[in-house]
Amino acid sequence: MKRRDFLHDISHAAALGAIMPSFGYGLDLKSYDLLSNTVEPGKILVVIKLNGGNDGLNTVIPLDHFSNLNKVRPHVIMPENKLVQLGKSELALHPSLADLKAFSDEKRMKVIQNVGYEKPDFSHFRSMDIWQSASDSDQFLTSGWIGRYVEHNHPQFPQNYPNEQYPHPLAIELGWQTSLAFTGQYSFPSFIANNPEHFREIINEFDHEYPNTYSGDKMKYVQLIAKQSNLYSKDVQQAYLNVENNVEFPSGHLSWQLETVSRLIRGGLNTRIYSVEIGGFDTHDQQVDTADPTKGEHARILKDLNDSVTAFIKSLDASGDSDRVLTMTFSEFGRTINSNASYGTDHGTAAPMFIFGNKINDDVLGTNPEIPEVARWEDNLKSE
Amino acid sequence: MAIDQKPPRPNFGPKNPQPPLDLEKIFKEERIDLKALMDSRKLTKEINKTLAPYTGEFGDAQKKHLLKRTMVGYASRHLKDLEGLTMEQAVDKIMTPHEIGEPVNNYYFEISAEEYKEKYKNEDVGPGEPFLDRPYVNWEGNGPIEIFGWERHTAVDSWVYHGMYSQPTSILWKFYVFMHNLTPVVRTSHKANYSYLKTLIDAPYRNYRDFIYDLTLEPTMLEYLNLQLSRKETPDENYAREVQELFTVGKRPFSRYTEGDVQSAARLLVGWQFDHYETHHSEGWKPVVYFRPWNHDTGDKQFSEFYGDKLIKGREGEAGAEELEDFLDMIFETDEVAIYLSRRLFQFFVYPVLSDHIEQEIIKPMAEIMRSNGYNLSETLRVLLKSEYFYSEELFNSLLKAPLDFTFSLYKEFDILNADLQMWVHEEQKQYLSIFEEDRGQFDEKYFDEIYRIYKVFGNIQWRLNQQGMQLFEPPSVSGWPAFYQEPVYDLFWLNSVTIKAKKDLTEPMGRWGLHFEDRSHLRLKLSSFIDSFENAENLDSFISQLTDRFLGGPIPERAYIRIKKSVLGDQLNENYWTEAVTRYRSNPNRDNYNTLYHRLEQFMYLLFELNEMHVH
Repeated sequence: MKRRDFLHDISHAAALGAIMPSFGYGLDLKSYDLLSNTVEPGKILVVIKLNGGNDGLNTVIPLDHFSNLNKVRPHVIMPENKLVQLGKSELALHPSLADLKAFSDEKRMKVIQNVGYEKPDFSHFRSMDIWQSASDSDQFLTSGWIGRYVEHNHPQFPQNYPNEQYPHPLAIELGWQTSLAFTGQYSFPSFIANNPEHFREIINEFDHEYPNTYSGDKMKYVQLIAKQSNLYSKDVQQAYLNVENNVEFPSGHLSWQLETVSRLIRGGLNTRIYSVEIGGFDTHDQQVDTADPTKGEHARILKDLNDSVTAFIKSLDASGDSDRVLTMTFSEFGRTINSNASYGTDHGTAAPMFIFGNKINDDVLGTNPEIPEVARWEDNLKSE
Repeated sequence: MAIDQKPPRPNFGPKNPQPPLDLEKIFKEERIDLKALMDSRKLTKEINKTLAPYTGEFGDAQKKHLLKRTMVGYASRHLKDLEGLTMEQAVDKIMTPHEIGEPVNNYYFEISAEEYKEKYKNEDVGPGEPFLDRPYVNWEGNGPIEIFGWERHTAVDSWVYHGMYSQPTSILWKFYVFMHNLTPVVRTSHKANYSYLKTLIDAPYRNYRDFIYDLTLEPTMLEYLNLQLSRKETPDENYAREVQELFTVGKRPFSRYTEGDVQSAARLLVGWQFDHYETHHSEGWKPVVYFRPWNHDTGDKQFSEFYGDKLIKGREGEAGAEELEDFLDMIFETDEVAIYLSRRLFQFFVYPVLSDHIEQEIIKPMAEIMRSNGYNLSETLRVLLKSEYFYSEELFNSLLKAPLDFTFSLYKEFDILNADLQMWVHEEQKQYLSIFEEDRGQFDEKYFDEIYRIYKVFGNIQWRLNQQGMQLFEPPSVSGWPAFYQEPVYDLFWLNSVTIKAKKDLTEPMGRWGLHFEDRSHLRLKLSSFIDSFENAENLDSFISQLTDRFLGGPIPERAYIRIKKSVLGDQLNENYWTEAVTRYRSNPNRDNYNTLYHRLEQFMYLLFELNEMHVH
């Protein structure tokens, strides 16, 4: 499906509830507004960004085109018997994602095929920007879809937040760069923290009185801006410290982020949208190990994804929170149908997305991508 | 290629510059109570000083103030350079220009000579060789365009930024930023860009009128403000307007040039064009500009009362080129040029907010000095930088740092090109540090090559600066950056929720594990030389006090100070934690002692950088 359609639903429709029906959440448009408040525990969306352009064809393998895949991407294709059969729509998963099969069997995982956009832009920044801002690839919007959605419904943000109805931040992002999806027109406070125990607010002296001088005036302004960027720190920190880890998380960048998100959710933070990220998907070369294509760089980061997501969902299962959490992955574009001689793939177009949740309609959305027998370098997957 | 034909719009390839951040828009959206700010500003006392020479004490505070206004990023090494100098000697030293060399091939790590030839169908120069004099091939209509190639583009960028980073204690590069903001263009080919840059670098040290003449005929300017395509039948007014409004006499109501003046100027200016091939491609980098008599309006040009009702006679043939000289002579006869330029100098180098007192006591006398000094901007500024007004204490740390200053003072103070390399490999749960022999092999040898470092660190810095709202070479408009001219907000534009985060994205890693370099490696403070550069580093209070002097624009508020100390020493404020870490490391810089000390240091360095006091200078 076109990425744009379902993201536009979110931006312009009443709520995340707009996309829920297509995932079988079973809610109608009007009755549900994910972002109506952050007072009570409610539904939560967790977005996992795969930076670099994930190779969808090696992640979710269309078995009905396997012989053609062997012909066009011999350097990276894996032996069929190593793949993890999903038992749906003739799809299989990369061996590193073996644990995700369990979620699929439990009807808690959905695959959406061929998500992409027209006139793809193969630059990383531009693609991420396009993705996250739901723009046409020749437009350039400066705020992300989540941000715009929030502003549309919460125009006072951030000047009047926190307030009684919104004591907790609407969205939190972990990672080291401001992702466009979260800087709305009225800039979100996004936290970049590697450990919520050491929050920024604690260092700056917000009540310090600066004198009425040229320099003092400047300092007052800086103080004002700093304050606005830190309004929620106490609550976030409190939630984090309320609970401990309840499940063993592997070590790794994504794991740490999901571990933090899990603690914040279980600790009682009513933030509605979390964004985390994992890098390394830009596998132009050495995507696979030359000796064993089930190993290598791609395999390693997919394993990280596998292990982290599994631990994340299990930790929410243990506390009974997994009913209200929807997790999705996305990457700025896919990779070429062809492999290249450096045992990698280059920037392509469409790729599959995963959605995890307890109440989703777990049918595969979209048809398996067509793999031609002979793919030219310029051929790329069509998005639906 | 025919002279009329424009080359395709520059496309710098996969390393695309990001679109500039719109600081004015973000500021509006912050919904700052501007009225309250303005009211508060009114309450601040006027500085009642004049342009008379300063005769007071010239200690560290005064020196730092001078350096913060004249360097691209203050750093303690500049302060050392002023040791033992009087105020006059210090200013004179700073006002002295210096050589800047030229860009060379430092991109050979990313593209080999064979690959370059394959890509652009032209021979590349060898590693470390200059390339601007070399001929460029003509673009055939397909494939990458050599005159805009991103490799050499990055080489030029990194040469400029490296120049700023390694600058001697001279105002040259800061003056370049001033000129760049005053007379901006959009960049085109490598050669044309370089010619324009050289013109700006030289501008403050010569007659500004001659600079304007040269600027008018710079290919980048001819293109940017449309003279290149102007036709005598319907002359383009863009340059005609901006050369008056922005570059010489300034805006109304101060200057009273009329629309008629713009039209007359447009007719006068038609006929100048640069030759594409000779400028962008042929050997040498000096542009080739022609005057085209057949495209010139030969009628008389009448100007308004503001210009003394001057009539510039239209001339036929090649003599039409002389009209440009007459035009500039006419402009420079007005009083307004010197006043406008003095105002711009004052607002950039001292403080942006003007007042009647400043107009009378500072701007007017500066203008007189400028007129009697052949419109030499640096001579005029010299007087300002030696004045009692300039050294008023109220002005110390009164400006928000522009992104260039914020970033470069950090890089300079960290001596980033000499930094150690650090890498964390999480599958092995191990840290590698280049200072230890046994780890060195983990890092690619080229990471230790200075040229590679220059290419990586300064070739990529544009992105970082853009995140903070100031992408050099890509100003948001022909007026430059709003923070430098847009009243009443001025430098407040630099800081908002978006850019404050961008700055933290820079300072937090630098304070903790280092500046990201390549792959998983980071450039980290060279601990040994850093610690050695402090006196009495074992004493934490002394150490923090010296850090404050180096990085901050004011003292740390008391409660924040205690929190910072607690983060290093624990709640009991056990001074020994720090002292022991330092002494142990000094007596035996092995891995354990290094890590213990570094761990302590990083715990509070990044917190220090979080303070509001980081943002003013």
